[in-house]
Amino acid sequence: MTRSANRPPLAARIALYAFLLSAAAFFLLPLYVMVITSLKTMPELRDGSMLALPQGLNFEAWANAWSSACTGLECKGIAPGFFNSLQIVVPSVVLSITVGAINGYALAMWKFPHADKVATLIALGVFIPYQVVMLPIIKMFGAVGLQGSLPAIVLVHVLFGLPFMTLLFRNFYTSVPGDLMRAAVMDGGGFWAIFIHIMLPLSTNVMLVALILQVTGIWNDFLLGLMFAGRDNVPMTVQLNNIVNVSFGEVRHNVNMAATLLTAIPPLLVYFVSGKYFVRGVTAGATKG
Amino acid sequence: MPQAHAPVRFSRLALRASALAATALVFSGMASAQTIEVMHWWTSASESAAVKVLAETYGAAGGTWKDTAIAGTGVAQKAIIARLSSGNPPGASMFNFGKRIDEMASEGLLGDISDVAQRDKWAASVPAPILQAVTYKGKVVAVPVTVAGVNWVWFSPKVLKTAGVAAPKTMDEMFAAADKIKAAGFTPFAIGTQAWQLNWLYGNLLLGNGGRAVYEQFTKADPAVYATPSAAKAMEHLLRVRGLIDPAATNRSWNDSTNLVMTDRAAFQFMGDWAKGEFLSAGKKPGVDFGCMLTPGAQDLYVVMGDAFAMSGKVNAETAAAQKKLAAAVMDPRAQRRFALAKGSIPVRTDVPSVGFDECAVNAMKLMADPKAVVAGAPIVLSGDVNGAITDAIGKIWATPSIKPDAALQMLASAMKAAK
Amino acid sequence: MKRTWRRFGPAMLAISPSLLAALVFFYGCIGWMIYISFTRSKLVPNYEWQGAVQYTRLASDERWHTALGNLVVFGGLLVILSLAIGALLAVFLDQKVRFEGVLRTVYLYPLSISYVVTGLVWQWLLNPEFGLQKIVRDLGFTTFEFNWLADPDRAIYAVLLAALWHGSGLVMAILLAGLRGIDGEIWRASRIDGIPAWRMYWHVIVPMLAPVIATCVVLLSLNALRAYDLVVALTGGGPGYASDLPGKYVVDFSSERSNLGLAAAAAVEMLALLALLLLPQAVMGWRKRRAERLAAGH
Repeated sequence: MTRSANRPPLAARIALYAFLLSAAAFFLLPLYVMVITSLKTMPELRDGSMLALPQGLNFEAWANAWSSACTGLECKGIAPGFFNSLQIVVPSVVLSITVGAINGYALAMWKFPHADKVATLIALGVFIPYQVVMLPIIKMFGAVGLQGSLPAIVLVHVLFGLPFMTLLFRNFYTSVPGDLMRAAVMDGGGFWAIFIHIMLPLSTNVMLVALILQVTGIWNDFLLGLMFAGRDNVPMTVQLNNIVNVSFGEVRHNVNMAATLLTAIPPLLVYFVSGKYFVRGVTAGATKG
Repeated sequence: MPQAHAPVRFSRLALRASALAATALVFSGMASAQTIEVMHWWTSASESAAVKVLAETYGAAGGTWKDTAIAGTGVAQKAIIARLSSGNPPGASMFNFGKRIDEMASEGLLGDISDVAQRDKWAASVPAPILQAVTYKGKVVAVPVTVAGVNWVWFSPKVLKTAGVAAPKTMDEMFAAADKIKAAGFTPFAIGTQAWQLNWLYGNLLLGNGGRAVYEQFTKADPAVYATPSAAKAMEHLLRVRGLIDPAATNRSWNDSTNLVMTDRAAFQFMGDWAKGEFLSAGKKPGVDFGCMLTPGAQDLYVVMGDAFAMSGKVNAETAAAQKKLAAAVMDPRAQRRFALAKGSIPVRTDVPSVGFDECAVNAMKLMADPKAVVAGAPIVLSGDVNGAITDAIGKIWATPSIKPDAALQMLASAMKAAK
Repeated sequence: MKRTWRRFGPAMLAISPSLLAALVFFYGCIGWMIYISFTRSKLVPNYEWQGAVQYTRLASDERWHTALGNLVVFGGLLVILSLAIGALLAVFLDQKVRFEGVLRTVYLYPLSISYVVTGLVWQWLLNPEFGLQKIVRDLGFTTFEFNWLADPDRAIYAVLLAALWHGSGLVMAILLAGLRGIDGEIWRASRIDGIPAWRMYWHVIVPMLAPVIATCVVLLSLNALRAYDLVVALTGGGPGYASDLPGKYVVDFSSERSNLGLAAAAAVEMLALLALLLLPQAVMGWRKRRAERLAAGH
């Protein structure tokens, strides 16, 4: 147990930190640009360098983006979209995680005939190019009068999240010791009883991973929300597109960046707050092969 | 006994009140029964102002306009097609004049407003190519909203003056002038080398070198057009443009290119009407700060494209009535006038007085009124697939600096053939 | 049969809605898509059988070939470089670094940014007039070139750069978790035996993490295959169609190009490619299960 065995050389430590900090700079650069652009005025943007710090903390662009930017004939900013996105994300995430957990549990712990084949059938759905199959799905929804509504978009999100969620939970539950299951069955537990009382409490870590992935994926979705949510429920991303994607006249970069950041904040917050749980959840066997 | 009567009196009062309320509801219901949802992609400031004109006209006629605006033509079109296919269509949706309207109509997804067209005598006031664009198998399925010119050239009078050249009337004159402009230290052509802009340019070069006959052969997607001498000349001109642009042209957006002309650093830009909007919103005056002319070699023609509100089919009686009201409102001469002024375009009706329009628009309106001058532009007649294929080919041609004109023409011909 | 039902009934019932949904919406739609690929559908589906016309067209379509070539380059490099960057970050972070939590969040947060926003910001950064090229030039390096967006040969690497920025953090998180799951005993034993660290990683750790790495490869390949928003926002597929990818090709032809039939054919070819990629894994998995069953004496 000599010192040299325990303490790596200083040069190596410096190199280590240099690498990690340069990487950090690379990853932070775009966020930095977005934030300082949103805090500048248009003259500053026109004349100054992209990386220059703003001359003052000018939150006008943020106020504009939130409540008065024009998204078509209406000039109510991006705020309405925020509440629509909430309305879409909450039920979609809750339902898709619930369904994924139940599926994963059923497939992993109850080896009914052809369970493996069913698992593969569902999991392969992850490869579907959703932009092409959108049209027949729209027609099918339209035929039952479901098109263009909140239930429609929630259903679509659950549907497209089904393969990956099922895979995630199935992988997790296969790593739970078989003895636990056998003991529970011998104690007379049924399918639902075991799920609710034994499996769910064990699943917090993988549920967190699922939550993080689904909140991010569904909040950031644009195309599905545009197609299925109906004009009164369009998510924030659609409103953002209306503000940013204007091809005429002067482009107000500061308002665009503020609007972009406002749209990005919920998933960002989720990652900032729960990053360590994400790693922990992944450790808990969520990604075993 | 007051106690016993009070409830009866009250309930009778309540009954009368609710009857009145119900009647009021019914009447207001009738007024708002003419609600129409209109999907479109006009989200910029000037476009929104123009849409407002139409919404107000519709409102003044007793209806309620429900606006569904989605930015980005491509994105909006996807959403529109999805809605039309879903069994829950909007009352009306925006389409470019072109094959898409025909395709939607051939699937039975569009309605019929021929009665409005007949009643308001559109045939007398709308140029034939435009009316054709909104008609499918004899039925009028859409109302034309705006018309745009394809063969505009925007130029800087200052640059031309300093270089000592006059506004060219033929293609040869234009390229001779371009050399002089370059020698004087300016950029002859303001363009961004995005494939669609290059495709736009080549279409105009073809028009200027070959006139109506060759252009119509092109828009009918006849691959043999690329074997004509005009096409060869146009290709030579296109390849010459490579040496007549500035270094920052790579991948530049069209409005940044317009800026070059606006700030008197470049001479010419081939671009549609919407470029005028850029000049006007920067406070520039036509004829003074910037000039407008039609493509040299085709200055007696007005090549058109435009947008229409297509009426959805399979709607209930209420919506069908709203659609007819919408069509009438859009085609109202006063609405057309105010709309065109707000958007910076020209009316689709030829009987709107040109007072108040700028000199570029006045010239265009004069040509529109002449049936011999109006030509259906490539965007109207070519299918999205063919147009896309030749755009891809032109992009490839531009990315191959060493390419010879013959090989380039071959590429275009096979692209057109493959996509037909 | 009755015993199976009694034993497995609730499980089978629980899974049946998802199975049904998968059959109808996934496989039903794939079937629909395969059928449409044999028609001349333009903007809306047209069910008249036309044979393999669209496939013939695809075979000679230069843009499709470019897209496929780009997918191989982009996908391959995305997997390799994401693994390399993620591995380096994970290994270094595992060295008892100060501010590990902060650094980990910094590497991970780009995942929360949508592809559209990612493309938008990177388009800014790579803009020759006011982006990184100009900034470095202003610092004195007047001949610095960083204009990938305008270069047909380099545009796809711009997309790669943005995708690496977006997804390396996920690989890092997965690999870090894998590393943390390795027993400390192994490290102690290696130190006692005097084995250098790099050899430990290469010969011992990597094989142990093989399933985790395999998961990363699958996730990354999926991202490459589905790439659409990023390409549209960053390069628009350009210059010309130099940075086109199959996902964008399919969407473009099913909407703007009004050729649903061709788009469907392209999508079918994409799926076929995918099946080919997954085939070795599937065969290995099937063989393994068969061996297990034989060993268990079924």
